[in-house]
Parts: sequence; C-alpha cells; structure tokens
Amino acid sequence: MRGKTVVGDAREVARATELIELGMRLQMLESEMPLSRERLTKLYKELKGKSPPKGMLPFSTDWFVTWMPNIHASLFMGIYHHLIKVSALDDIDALIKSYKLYLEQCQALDSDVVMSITRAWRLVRFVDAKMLRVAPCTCCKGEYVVREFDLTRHYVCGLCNVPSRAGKKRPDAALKIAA
Amino acid sequence: MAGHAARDRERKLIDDTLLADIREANLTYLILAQRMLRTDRAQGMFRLGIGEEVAGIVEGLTTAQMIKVASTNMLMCKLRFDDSIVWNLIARNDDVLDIKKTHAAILLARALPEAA
Repeated sequence: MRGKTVVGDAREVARATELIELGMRLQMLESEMPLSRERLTKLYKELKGKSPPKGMLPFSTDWFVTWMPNIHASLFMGIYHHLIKVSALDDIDALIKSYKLYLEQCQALDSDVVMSITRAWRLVRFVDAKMLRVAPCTCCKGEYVVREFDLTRHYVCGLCNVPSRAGKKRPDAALKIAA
Repeated sequence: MAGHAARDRERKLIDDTLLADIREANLTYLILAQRMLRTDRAQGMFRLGIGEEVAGIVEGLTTAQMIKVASTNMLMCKLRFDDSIVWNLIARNDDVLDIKKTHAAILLARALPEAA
C-alpha cells in the first residue's frame, strides 16, 4: 500500500506539491493521490494561498480536436508516449515529467501554454478510456490526437493542411500564420 | 634538422586541432548527457533520444572513463533526425517559421531511440 509508511507519505506529499504548483485541480489530486481530501486542501491553501477552485473539470473530448489545442495535445501526447515507452514510470510521474517537458517546449517555441495540466491529465485519461487516440498523418507521419471513431485512413493533420482561419482569433496568439 | 622536418610533415598529415575539437565536443556531450540523466533519468532519455541500456552506461561513467572514451577521432553524437521532412521544417527560412517549429517539435517528440 502506498502512503502507509512515513517515507512513502512524504513522497506522496512532495508529488502532490509538485502537481499543485503545476496548476492541477484538487478534484484530480483526489483521484490520483492516496492522500486524504483534508490534507490535500490544506496543502493547496498553503501553496497557493487561497482555496482550491470549485466547479467541474473540463470534460469535453472535442476541445482536443480543435485546431490549436490539437497541436498542443499532440505535442504533449508525443512526449508522454516517448517517456512511457523508454522508461518504466508511474502514470502520475510520467504525467508530471512530460508536462514539464511540454512547458519547456512551449517556452522554446515562444508559444502560449495552451494546455493546462488538468487538460493534459484528462487527455491521458481519455486515451486510456478509448475516447481519444492518436493517428498518423498521411502527409508528415506525425501522430495526432483524434477521436476514437474518426476515420483516419486518409487523415491529414492540421499543420500539413492549415485551415484558412486557423489561429486568427487573437492577434497575439503565439502561433503566427503568414497573412 | 631531419627530425624537425619529419615532425612537420606528420603535423600536416594529422590535423591536431581537429582531433582536439572532436575530443572537446565529445567530452562536453558526455558530461552534459550524464548531467541530464542524473538529474532526471526519464527526461534525460527523452532529450537524448537514447534507450534504457545506453542511459545506464552513460550514467555510470566515471570522469576518467569519459576522458578516455572522448579521446577518439570520431564524434560520439550524431545527427538525430535523419528525416528530410523535419529538416525542411526547421531549416527552411520563411515567415511561417513559428508554426513550422511547432510542427517539427511534434514530429521530433515521438522519434524513439533505435533500440526501443
């Protein structure tokens, strides 16, 4: 049983701390961590200096197939798959590590962080639950997040075939498309 | 005098500076690789694009071993992405570079080490 020993407990608290700092919502911590709700709430308040936000978690799979989120979701998923393939990691550790790499990548690309860790976690769960999956683009061979029942034999990703209005919602959107 | 001439000839045949540069690049690479692996093994493996086995070896190298391994006439790190799509995306000069970089990042993230 995890979290039963003092050392194990300390490790869980350290993990939870890391997750809260990355912006994870309390509801997710509850389902991922063997710590009690009270302790998590207390930890959250200590770290953030305010009560955890209430309300529903994002629950839509559609968000992940819209243009910009899809790019970021696919990037994250690529990193995540790579990590779990090359090393034996706990689910939650793999999530933390790949999310950090994703943040780094966003910084390197000078792009907004489109996907919160909550979304990233939902994405992994959606893929586990076979609501989403990845499919290779027939053009660039990259793997992109698609819905489970999408037809993908001739799939072309949103980067090989950029939709005409893509990324034009906000002028300061980090991914700039040539006019 | 004759000895001098022979040494001069040798010097011209063997490019010392090139060897020194290769050695330095190798050593820098190994030190960086080891640091990344020791800080965080999984992330290091992702960044380096290497598998479990190689990661273990590099992580365990002592400094003396690293110097020895680095002193060779071959470069230890090679270009990782032997894919023209990726190179076109990164290297081509045009004004939609931002999105190309993101595109390349997606393609690179899933490139697994050859051993895996």
